[in-house]
Amino acid sequence: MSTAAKFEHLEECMGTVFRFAGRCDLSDETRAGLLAQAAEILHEADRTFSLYKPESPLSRLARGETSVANCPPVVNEIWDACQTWETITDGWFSAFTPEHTFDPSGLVKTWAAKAAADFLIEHGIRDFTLNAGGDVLISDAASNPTDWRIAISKPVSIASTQAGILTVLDLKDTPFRAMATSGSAERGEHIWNPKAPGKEPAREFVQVSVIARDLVEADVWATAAFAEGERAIDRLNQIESVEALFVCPDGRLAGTEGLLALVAK
Amino acid sequence: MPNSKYFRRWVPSTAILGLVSIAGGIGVNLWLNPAGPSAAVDGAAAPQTVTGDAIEYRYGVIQLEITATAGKLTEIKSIQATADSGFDQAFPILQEAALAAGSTEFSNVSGATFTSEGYKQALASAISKLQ
Repeated sequence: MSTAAKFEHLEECMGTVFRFAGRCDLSDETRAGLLAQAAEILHEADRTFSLYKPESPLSRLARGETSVANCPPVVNEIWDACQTWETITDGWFSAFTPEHTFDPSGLVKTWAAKAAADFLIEHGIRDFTLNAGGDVLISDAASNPTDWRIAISKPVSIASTQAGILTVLDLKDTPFRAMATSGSAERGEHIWNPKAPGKEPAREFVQVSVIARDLVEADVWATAAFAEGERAIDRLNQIESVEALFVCPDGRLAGTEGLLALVAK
Repeated sequence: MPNSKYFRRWVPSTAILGLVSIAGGIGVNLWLNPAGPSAAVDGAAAPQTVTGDAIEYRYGVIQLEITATAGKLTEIKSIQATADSGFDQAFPILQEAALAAGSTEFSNVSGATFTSEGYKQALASAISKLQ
């Protein structure tokens, strides 16, 4: 549409930054209203699931003051999703911390991001990308070829002077719409190994990026593969709906069979 | 057997890693300023050639010489590349793929979940580099 205007909206939430960017032909006022509502979906998820907020339903659950059944229905939904993903990943994704607290934050961020994106699409903003603190979703109707190209960060913090790009993937004309990256570059060793005695942090990779159609699927597999280590390469190779790039501490890289085909030309 | 299956993938990636040090410098800026590389790269830059460290990896050693002009990779030469027999031909393929990726524009960067604080630092740093 020739009337489509570019927009960009940054929203600070869950300790990170969400960036909505795209084009739409709604009025500025309508667009701003919809983006504010999408942002509210993120904040609502944060209020419900944050373990940093003492009065959140999840914090009360962690202290044993309530049960899942007595939490808002959405907690049940996330609980079920975590159980399902734990089974699918053969236990390598787990929403239980080493202290046995239910902490679904590994899934809530991308789940909320997807809900916010779906809200925008339903209400007429269809041509955009959403970067949820490093996990990226592309809408089906993204019209700018650049929007289909996602760079993968080097395994260092974006605040580092070494920050930069490892490579660029082009998802145009593929079934893929999402990429998520797990790593220790930004927040240290925060991914625990759900299977190791004492659940010490995973260390075999410094970064794992997973490409999938669905943002939550990409996010869960990135977390699970990071925790599992090198054997995850074989595992992800056997899953047709995902591709992945793995970075080892010594700089070695590995990828799934289909990864090279996605490298931007 | 699994090793030989992974091998071709390790190699290209090593090449990618070698050239990243050049392409990477402008990465955050590109993301923060999606208008394009021009926002982040000084005009009229002369070609710059650097030699990467010799990187030992599971199957041998690789060392690349990379030339970049105005932030875009224009040439990658492999000045040292050893690998177990039978795999050497994999190098050119991977270098080609890496070279292409190094000069591509993009709208987003995927990385480990950054903090709001880290984001602001990166933003401040990017802005300070703009002329």
